[in-house]
Amino acid sequence: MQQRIAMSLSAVSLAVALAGCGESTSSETGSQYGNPATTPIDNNFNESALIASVVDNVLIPTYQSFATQADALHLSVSNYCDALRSNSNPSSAQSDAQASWKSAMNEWQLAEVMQIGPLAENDFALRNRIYSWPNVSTCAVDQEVINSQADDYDIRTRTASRRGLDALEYSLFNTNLAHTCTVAGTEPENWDKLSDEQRKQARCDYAEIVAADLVDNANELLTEWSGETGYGSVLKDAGKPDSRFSTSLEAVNDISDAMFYVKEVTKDTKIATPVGIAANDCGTSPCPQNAESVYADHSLQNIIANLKALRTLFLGGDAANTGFDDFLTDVGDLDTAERLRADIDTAIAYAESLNGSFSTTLEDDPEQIEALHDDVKTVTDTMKTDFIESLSLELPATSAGDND
Amino acid sequence: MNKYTHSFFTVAVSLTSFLSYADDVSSVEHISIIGNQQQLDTAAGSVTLIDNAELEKMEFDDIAQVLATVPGVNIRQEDGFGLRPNIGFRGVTPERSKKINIMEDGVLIGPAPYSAPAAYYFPMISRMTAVEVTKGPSMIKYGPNTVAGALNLVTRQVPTKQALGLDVAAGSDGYYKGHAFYGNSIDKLGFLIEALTLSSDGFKELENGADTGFDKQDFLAKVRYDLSTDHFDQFVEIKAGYGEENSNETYLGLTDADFTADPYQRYAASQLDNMEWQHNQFQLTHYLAGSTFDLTTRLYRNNFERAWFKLNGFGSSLGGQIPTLLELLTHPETEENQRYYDVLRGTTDSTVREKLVLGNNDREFYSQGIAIDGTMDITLLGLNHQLSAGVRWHEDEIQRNHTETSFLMQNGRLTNAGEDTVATTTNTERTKATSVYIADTISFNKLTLSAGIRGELIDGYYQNRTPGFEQDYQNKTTRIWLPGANAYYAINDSQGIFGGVHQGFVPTSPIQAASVDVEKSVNYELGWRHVERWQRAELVGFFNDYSNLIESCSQSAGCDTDLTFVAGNVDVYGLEGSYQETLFLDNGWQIPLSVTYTHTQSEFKESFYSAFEQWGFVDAGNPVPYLAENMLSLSAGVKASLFDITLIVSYADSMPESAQQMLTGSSDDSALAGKETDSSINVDLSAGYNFNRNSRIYFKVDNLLEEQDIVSRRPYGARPNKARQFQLGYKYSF
Repeated sequence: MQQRIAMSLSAVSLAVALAGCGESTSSETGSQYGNPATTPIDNNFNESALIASVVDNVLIPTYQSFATQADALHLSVSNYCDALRSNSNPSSAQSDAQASWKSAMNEWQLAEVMQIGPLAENDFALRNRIYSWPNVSTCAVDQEVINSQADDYDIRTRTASRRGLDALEYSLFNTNLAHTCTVAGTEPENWDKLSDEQRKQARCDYAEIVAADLVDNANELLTEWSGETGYGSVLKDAGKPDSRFSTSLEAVNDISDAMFYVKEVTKDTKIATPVGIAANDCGTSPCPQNAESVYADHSLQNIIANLKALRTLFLGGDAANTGFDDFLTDVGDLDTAERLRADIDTAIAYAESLNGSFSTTLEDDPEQIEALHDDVKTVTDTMKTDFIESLSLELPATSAGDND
Repeated sequence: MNKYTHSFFTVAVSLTSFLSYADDVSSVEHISIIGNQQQLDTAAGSVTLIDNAELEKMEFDDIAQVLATVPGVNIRQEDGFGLRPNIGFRGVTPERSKKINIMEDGVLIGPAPYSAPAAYYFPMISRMTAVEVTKGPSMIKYGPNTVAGALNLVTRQVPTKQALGLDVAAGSDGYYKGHAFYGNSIDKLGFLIEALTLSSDGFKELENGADTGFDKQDFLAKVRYDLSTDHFDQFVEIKAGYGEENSNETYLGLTDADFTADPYQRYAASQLDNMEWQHNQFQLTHYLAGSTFDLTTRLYRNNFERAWFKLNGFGSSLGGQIPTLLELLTHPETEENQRYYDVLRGTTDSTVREKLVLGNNDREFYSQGIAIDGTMDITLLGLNHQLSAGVRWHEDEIQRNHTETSFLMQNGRLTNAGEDTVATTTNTERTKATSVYIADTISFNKLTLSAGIRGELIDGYYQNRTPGFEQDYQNKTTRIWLPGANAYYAINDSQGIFGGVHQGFVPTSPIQAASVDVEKSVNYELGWRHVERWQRAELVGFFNDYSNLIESCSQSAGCDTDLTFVAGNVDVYGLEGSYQETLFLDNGWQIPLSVTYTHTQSEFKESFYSAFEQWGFVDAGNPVPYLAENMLSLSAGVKASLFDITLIVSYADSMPESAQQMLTGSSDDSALAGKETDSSINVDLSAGYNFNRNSRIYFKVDNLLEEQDIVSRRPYGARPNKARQFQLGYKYSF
């Protein structure tokens, strides 16, 4: 009987065996589907040459230059504090410190468009320690001026909004000596009992601590990028065995992601918001208080630096180096290569042609800032369409589907 | 061909059920996926039937409460009312019930079960007359998801004679229910019309006093024509239904500290959150049965439209890093999070750094197809076979038209920031699937053997409809064969053992890359069952050996669209036990008793990191999140001719909210690593008094002890179980 049962089940068993319990999945996709960075496009372009060019001609020189500027800034802040203590022409020393801050900021605004690897890791922790804008808090800096007077004070344990170039800007440029804490209980202790001179000195003393911390962080950035195990080598080794990038195009995509700073931050945050294209604290009217670097009124210079950084990244340094323009040309999209370069130059030239500071222009002639927005948008529109598609790169998630 | 046999539960039906009195019980079988009670008693697998008498006993409106007494069911509560239930069986994620097959009258009822399996629509349990739960190897008859189980909801049948039912109830928190049906059969033509409305002001409170509740309506009509002859049972039935919901529901919960202070508060930032949906359905059923066969053909179409306008998070005109709602509600005390937290509560006005982004997740779905299922009894080589086979051609689609609008918190109220509403996700996913199965059951003396196989042939289509993204599409094909086998051995007339093995499968949606493997497992079960007329006991051990566990992350889990994440090798195993007995007192009273216990263990077999927020950094051996190790449900009552009282006590262990067990300090940490939901004890009480055969008054209390537990901290913060609710109702029927 057992035999008969077995025979009776044989048909189903056979079907099971024939089917092999197998599973198969296949697909046909469009050129914009999914994550093309994992499937390199078929081309003869040497992507490693582009990466090496960007690392050696753009990224590391920029970080090196910033470290140098940070040193100079630290020195000039120290001089300013000494001048305050000895009352020997402190206003001149302050002007020097402010000029040093602007030089350092100009260099950092190049690096802002280069937030790759160590700068981006851990939710951009190192970047935020150097410059945390727009996550800034002047009240936190006011508190820190007092907190830093404690013997066991260690700035390395403090939050990013109390450190970096933004804290230095407030300390060096703000002429109002009152604190900015508006919530009861958050006021810096005994601030109101200090004289104006004591407040200036206290702020400067804290600025000196911040500047020293900035130097440490600038050097850490440089160390992270340098040497055989540095991130520069990691990028250049992309696609090789044991590399963290399975293809060189993935590393190219990291650089491309960083370049989209110009779209998401320069265009949207630094221009569209203060001019009122996006909602701001004045509604949808021009609103200088929502600009970057409001105490130093340095926003226009920041924007220009961002655009220049985009240009050098795009070219891999200068026109003689291997850059994205060569990559585009290699894949047959000479039009995008030439148009993008020309549009970037146009935007830089227009920004440099604006007379007066950002805040003045914003208040007196906001149409000029709107025109700047249009010029930058022309650049970023090409980046998110032709540039990405021709090179089979992936848009950063924050730029996808925003219907710009 | 009346296969119906009276036994324990069905006698209970005839003794207690008012509204079911008019039902023709035999007709239920045509729609049922389980069959009758005798088949249930000798089923070679885990199947549970909750009949009308059981459903009416507690008058539950929430499927989670109904299933609390079913072993092997894991549930994550969300809004407290069960508007969008999260149900899993045997350890699969309960998230939006996406891994079980939810059916109404044997037809897949999810909005788009293949293309977007998250069940944002769930039929109103208050109008159902039976609930059937199938787990184990017999699952291969139902698809596409065979890894966990099937839940079939049976609607009211067209009565064979005039029948009317009315049910009205009112309760605390502005609760009310109105339910009516009328049906009749004249000669061969029968019909049924039914309407149900359910509403509550909500048990949560907004500072501005706005309603946090819901309104739901549901209408159903059936027409049936009997074509039976001397030799064949045959009928044709048309079913049409319409349902709608308007609920002020949110995904926003509370910080743990605020939950402790007042679990029923809602932050001001959720004041505009609102879900609206409309659902309509059409079904044509043909049933034909002879002495040795039956054949059921179902033609169906379901349409579903929903728009959920709700807080998605913060935005800033100044860009920068912005914490997610889950991050800031987990750590509201940090300097970076404090101002967002204050804005969320409405105690501080927004600047443009703290814009509140409300998303309108507008989606349209349809699901249609034709399914033919049949069974045939034949004798072959001297053995009795019951062959069953089916084929289904199915098509479903989801169109997403998601947008976001920015608001500012000003004086505790959300005001439009004046920016344009922007499109976020605009795409379509569509699936055409052909499913087939064949199974053979052989009975020989005390042994019943079954074996079968299911095939799923799935063609998926994805298209990004954002202008300029025409080339963002995928056409994907998946083919899989899913075998299963089981056996039942009758030790004697009252008890038997059973066991089986089958292949578990969950497809990926059309948008997922073909390189993302489908979910696969081999599922084993071994059980013992003892059934006497007034006593039933069952013990089942199960082991689900996943070779690839996947999770699709929908918005309820923190993603904008259904991204799929892969965990690889995972084991889930456990024990399900249930015992029911009815005692009889000398005075004629009955004492029904029931105990249900489920123990579940799970472990990831590999260490890995996943960006899926519920996993994070996973070490091999960590348990799967949202799975209670121990669940126990006790039910006891008194049933007399004039009155009845039932008390249900349910206990569930706390559940991990993340597979990652502790924070590492990395920015990639799962925000809820190491956190657990509260363990919970819930007590529900129900009592009724029968004025006469047609008329009854009932009173019930849900959450009698007013337990206040964190049932989940997802998607955004701690959320409570349902508050204590009182309800008084009256029923009339003839």
